[in-house]
Amino acid sequence: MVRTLSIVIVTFGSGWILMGLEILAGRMLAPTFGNEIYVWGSIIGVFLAGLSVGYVLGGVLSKLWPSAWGMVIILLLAAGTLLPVGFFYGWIADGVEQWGWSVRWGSLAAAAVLFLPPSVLLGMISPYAVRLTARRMETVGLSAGLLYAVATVGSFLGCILTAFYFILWFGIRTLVFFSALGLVGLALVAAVAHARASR
Amino acid sequence: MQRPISEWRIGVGMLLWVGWVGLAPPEPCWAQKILLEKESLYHYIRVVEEDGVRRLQFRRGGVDYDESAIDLQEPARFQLHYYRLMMASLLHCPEPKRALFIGLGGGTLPIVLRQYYPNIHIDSIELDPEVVEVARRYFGLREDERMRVYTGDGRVHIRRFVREGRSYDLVFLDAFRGGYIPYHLTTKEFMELVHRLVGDAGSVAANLRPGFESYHYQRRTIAAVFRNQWTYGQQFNVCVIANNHPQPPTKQQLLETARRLQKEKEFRFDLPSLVSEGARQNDYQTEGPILTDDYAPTEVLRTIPKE
Repeated sequence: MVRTLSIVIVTFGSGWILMGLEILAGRMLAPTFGNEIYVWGSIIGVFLAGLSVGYVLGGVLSKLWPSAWGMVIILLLAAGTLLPVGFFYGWIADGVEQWGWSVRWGSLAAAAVLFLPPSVLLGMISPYAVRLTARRMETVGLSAGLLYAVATVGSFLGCILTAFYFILWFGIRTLVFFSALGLVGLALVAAVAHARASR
Repeated sequence: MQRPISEWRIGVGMLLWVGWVGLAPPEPCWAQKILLEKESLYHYIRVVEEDGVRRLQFRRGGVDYDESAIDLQEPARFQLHYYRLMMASLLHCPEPKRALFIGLGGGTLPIVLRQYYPNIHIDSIELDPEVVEVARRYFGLREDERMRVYTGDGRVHIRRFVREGRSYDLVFLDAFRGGYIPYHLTTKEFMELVHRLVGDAGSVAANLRPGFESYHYQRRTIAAVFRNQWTYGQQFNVCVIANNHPQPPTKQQLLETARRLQKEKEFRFDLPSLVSEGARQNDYQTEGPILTDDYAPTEVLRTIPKE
């Protein structure tokens, strides 16, 4: 029970942080590439591309190594990818802009450099969570459905609360570091799941 | 052979018609012609004409905001209150040689500025290609080597202009998206870029909306980069002129400049009256946070009334 609950929390939290990050991404790229519709298109595209790669990798990894340790490592790596984003997003975006590409391809490239690593890693969480919670063949669809719902509700809240309130209360950089901290917290929760499993 | 129209089709047709009539906004009773109504990448655009005056409107939250207006016969006869306020910039920069507009809209201000200063070089940046098209087709904007229009984001372009080492005597900040200014055109980092374009000799004219919390943030942010600020106008719109001139003029000196320019240029508006009714300096809350790229909740603040 505790194990399932901690996996649910990890799924919810990583969905939250992913979409919160997507909202922040628009703010991070606007000073360099503007608030154009291309920039939003690039950001959403990069996150979706990252997720699809992450789903495949997460699925494969969960088959090879069906342990909550996998999740712990993925979450810590994701937290690690947010540190350079938080510290250097302005420099990185400016650097990519200096390549002289158009706003469309430039913003796509900058979004990919900044946000592809965390979105691939966070995309790996859902298939992993399904693998770790599935008990029997008959209920695998049910648990997959419930976990997707949990992840998406988390994404909904992360998106709305970040856009409506957090940006008003905190700076972009602070929020990125909160996200990294949140991922470390989720890694601890996943470690609890592992401890429960190995008893 | 003609097939009889089945009853259900007539029924659906009637429903659609009733729905259309019921939902369509009532036609205004005055003679307003809609010349263009279009969904662009960024805005819901309308161009309307009434009594020879054309207006460019962006719709936001069900309200059609007037972004630009022009009397085609006589563009210098200003149709929007804030145009006159923006001309207060000439008090602080009486002989502009190079001007930059961030936010073109219909292009009324560049058109009129060029009428009064035939040799001026004007660059304008406009985000929305459809709006540039409106300026050309409906507002009579003509481009040449001294009247250039750049399409794209204001900040992206001025970053490039700074890199190219361009400079301007006057920069007009007039980028609105139906009632608010995009946040990345309000921050300290943005103002620093603008400062690099005008140097310590040039001036900036910003069209701002008082009465919202965001106004004080914007004024404090400008103050973080520019030493001197003057405000012209009172409600709805004010024009804030900012610069780093070492010796800011007194109100009396401004009045003298205004009288001299008025005589020389024969403006269709009264420049000296702007000085006497406006030219306030610190009409905002000077203590408080400023807007930066990292922290800029302007859209949110925009909706919070001041009191």
